[in-house]
Amino acid sequence: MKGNARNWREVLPVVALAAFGLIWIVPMIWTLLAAFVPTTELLNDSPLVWLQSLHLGAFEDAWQVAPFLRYYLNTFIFVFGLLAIQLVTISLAGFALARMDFRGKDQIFFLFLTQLMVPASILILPNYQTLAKLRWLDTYQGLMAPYIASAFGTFLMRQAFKQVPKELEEAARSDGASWLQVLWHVFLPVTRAPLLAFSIVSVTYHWNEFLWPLLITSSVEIRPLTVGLALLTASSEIGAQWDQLAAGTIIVVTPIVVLIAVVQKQFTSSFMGSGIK
Amino acid sequence: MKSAPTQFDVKQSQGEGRVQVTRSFTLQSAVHSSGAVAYVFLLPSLVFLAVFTLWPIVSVIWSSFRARQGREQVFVALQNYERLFTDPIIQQVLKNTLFYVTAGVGFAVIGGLLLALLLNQGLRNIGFFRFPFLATIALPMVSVASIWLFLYSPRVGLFNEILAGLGLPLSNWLNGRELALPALFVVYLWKQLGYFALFYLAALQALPVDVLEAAKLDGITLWQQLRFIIWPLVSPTTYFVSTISVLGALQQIDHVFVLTTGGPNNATNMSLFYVYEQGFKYFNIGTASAMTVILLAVLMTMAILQFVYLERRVHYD
Amino acid sequence: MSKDSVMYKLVVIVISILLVTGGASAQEPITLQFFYPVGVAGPLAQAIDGYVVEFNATHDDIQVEPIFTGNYTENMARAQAAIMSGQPPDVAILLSTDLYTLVDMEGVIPLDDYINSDEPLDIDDFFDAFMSNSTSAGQVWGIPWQRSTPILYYNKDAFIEVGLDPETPPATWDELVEFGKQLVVRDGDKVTRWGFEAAAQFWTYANFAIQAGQHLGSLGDDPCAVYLDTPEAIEALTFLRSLQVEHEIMPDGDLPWRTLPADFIAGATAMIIHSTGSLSSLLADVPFELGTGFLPGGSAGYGANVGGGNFYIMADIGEERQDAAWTFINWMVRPEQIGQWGIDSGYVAPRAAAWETEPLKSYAAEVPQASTARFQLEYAVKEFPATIAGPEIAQITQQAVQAVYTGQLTPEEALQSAQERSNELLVRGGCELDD
Repeated sequence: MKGNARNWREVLPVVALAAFGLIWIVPMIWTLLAAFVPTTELLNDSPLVWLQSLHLGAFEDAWQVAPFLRYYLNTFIFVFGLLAIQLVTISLAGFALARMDFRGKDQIFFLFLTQLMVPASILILPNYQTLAKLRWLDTYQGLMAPYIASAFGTFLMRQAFKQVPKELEEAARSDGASWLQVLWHVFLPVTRAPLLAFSIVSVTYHWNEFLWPLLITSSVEIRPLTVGLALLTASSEIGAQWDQLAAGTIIVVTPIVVLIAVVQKQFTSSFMGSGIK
Repeated sequence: MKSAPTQFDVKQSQGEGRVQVTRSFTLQSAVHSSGAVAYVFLLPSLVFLAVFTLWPIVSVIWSSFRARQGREQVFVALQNYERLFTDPIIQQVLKNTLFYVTAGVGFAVIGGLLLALLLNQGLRNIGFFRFPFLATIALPMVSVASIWLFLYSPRVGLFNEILAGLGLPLSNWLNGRELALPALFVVYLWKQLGYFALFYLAALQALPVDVLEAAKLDGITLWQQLRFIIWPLVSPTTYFVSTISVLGALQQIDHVFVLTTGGPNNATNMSLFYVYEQGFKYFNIGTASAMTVILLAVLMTMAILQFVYLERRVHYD
Repeated sequence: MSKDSVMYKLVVIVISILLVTGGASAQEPITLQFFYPVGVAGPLAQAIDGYVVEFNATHDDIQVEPIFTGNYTENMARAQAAIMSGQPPDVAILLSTDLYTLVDMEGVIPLDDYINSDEPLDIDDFFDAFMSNSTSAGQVWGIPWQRSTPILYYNKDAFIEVGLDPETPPATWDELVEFGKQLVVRDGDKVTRWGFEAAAQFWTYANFAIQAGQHLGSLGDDPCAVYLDTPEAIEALTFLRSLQVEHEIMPDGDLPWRTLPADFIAGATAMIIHSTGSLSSLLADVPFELGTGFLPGGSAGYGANVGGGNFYIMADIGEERQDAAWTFINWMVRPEQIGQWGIDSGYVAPRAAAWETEPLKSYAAEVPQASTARFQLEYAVKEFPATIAGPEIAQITQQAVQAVYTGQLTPEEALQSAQERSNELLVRGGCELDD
């Protein structure tokens, strides 16, 4: 009796987890099937028939209907260009807030705090108007502009810089190094972990971003993957071409899924830190 | 945060001779005082913060008191806000949003904790089990929605195939009045639950092991262990997860866009989608701005509440 | 320092690029931004891009940059936003019904001067039904391009299977119900094939209203006319609802426009109403014999409204660019070119000359389905809603239809409330309504 209870206690959670996992996995598998098996057979025939009719036609079609290669390039430019800029802005600002004394520090700290409270997606309307005035619509700088100052990144770096021992800084300073040199040679080398964490969050977030790019971009040379995919879904009014849509989805998500599989641990801890975002 | 405002700090005056090393750095005298350097360091961030976070807040409040009349935007005082409380479609939008927010918090907390507990059993190959939940966090919502569009499709989708296979009555999912919003919510949950579970997982792993071990030895039930030991211990995380799930729920639009565009008959129209529709499709800038201001007010309140709570509860520095 | 020298080189390179491009700009061709949507099934974007490539190759002085912007709604939203922010595209394909909105915001220019210029266009060659949505206040504002009427698509194999004549689609509402009932296939409680599907969509519904004797808007040039709550308008929506609940030949619940071709191809329904623009993709994708027919007639006989997109030239872009845009449009609507477009897409080539020109002439002889929409034009009228606040009134009408399809409201309730909301918008937009 007691043994049964113990077994039950041990088995149930595993079963529950497996059930959870199944719910999470099935849509993904169905998408794979939808991309590799012709739709009519997927709906009407048995799995045995599916295996015989695996094909890559949907990928060819999707690839043909939308310039995914170009969209990839655009997403890369947007995501990594923005990241490069952000790493500079958050390091500088985080450093100033962590290691320097100046008038108005509290007030400036509060200004950053505002951004934590107000996510950029809420401000699409006024930000769109600003971009229009700047004539930055359909440009990469327009795409990046609302994210160049990152309160999340700034606070993350401020936190990290605060933990660097004072002695390291003072040694460098007494050698006559400028602040910029101190930041570059002393602080950044020991804060790679938070920089990486920020990078993972920033890249994932912007790789997936949709609404803002949808509003800002119009040309194929700027339009990122997510918008391209949504156009494939909504525009083609295809409906009929489920296989194409599934193939397009797979084309878009594969890099991210591979990335997660490779850096699962790092990803987990980065995202736990991102809650303050 | 406690640092008092200081005078310009001028004690660092050595290093004169090194100035040319940082020639590209325009403020040569900057090295003399950390004060001036600090402003230079902060400048890039502050400029973009001012233009793309602070100014928009001011400008959207200003726009919310104006409305289009012919081609002009004219001052209409509180008219846009009055409409927020009388227009039946806006009422529907607010109701839908409220559903998302409350259901979102409930499922984020209960589902997130449950999933975290399951993942925290010390199973081998936990990475394998964790992967699907992590993957959905990282997938673009647009892709997730595309996947579910296919699953929900009433005549060629997987769900109705399954129902038919089980001999159950078919459902209209996104195309029916009652199920559309819950069906949409499931998509949101599928994507985000792993994210919420991550925080609980971190909290659980930080719990003192001896407390849990002792509890097991005392032979209390799973439920008691959960209710009286774990739940109180993870309450800061619960608060935190609630906050971010409200923030998240308020911003949901991507999957509305792909799956239903707010239909049928506004059954799935939500605050941010409404802003998009009014602002970018019908150019009722005033109405869209008023809705934005409401969202801002909610977010600010949330942030302040959380701040007060954290000040009281934990040290977050 | 090496850093500085790199910096220096960069600056020199950038400046020289600026100088070179700046200096060359005098001979550079005019580059036109061209916004276009795709609203039906099929890879139409490539077809259009292909034409543009050909145009660019044959015109040294004009280069057109095609920008595919999604479906009609997205495309219009984008164009409007661009106009409002003072950065309009140069030329765009937008819904013919967007005319009033565009004129109202002074976003487009009248084209009569171009039509009669030394690059003339025989505007009388275009079918009247299409021109009715392209003119206002005696001026031509849009040139028909991807124009359509909805038609009935049916599965001939299914017709044969249940003993119906595959060459005779239903001609009346009664026949629609009768045929539909025969075509439904049940497996226990589950319907495995429906008889018919009409989308819960304003454009689809508007046809049924016309067949019942009520055009939902003005047939003339009145942008303030919306007639959603008349007995005939209500009768049409009541009929559509009866197909779901009383006759059970159409699935209950919302029926989004885009899912119809998928259901039809998969054999989940035997008949659908869809744009003629979907013809090419359906011909390619259906695994059965494809039949096409007129929309079944109601108490007022056959009826359909036209639809689709026109070319517009934007205001505030300068005369030089407007001239170039006209050259582009005029090239695109040449009879043989627009005939080719009709073949590639399925849209009705909107001018008579195209049907007398190769390649469309032989194609129409080979593929009889291609002519259905053209012959239906005889019964076709101006598209709804050609009104003030058109996009929003379209949405309101659509929501009313969805409310009825999902059983939330009765046709009377839904349409009366839609009428009230439309009136509000019309008044806000400057209309003076009688009551």
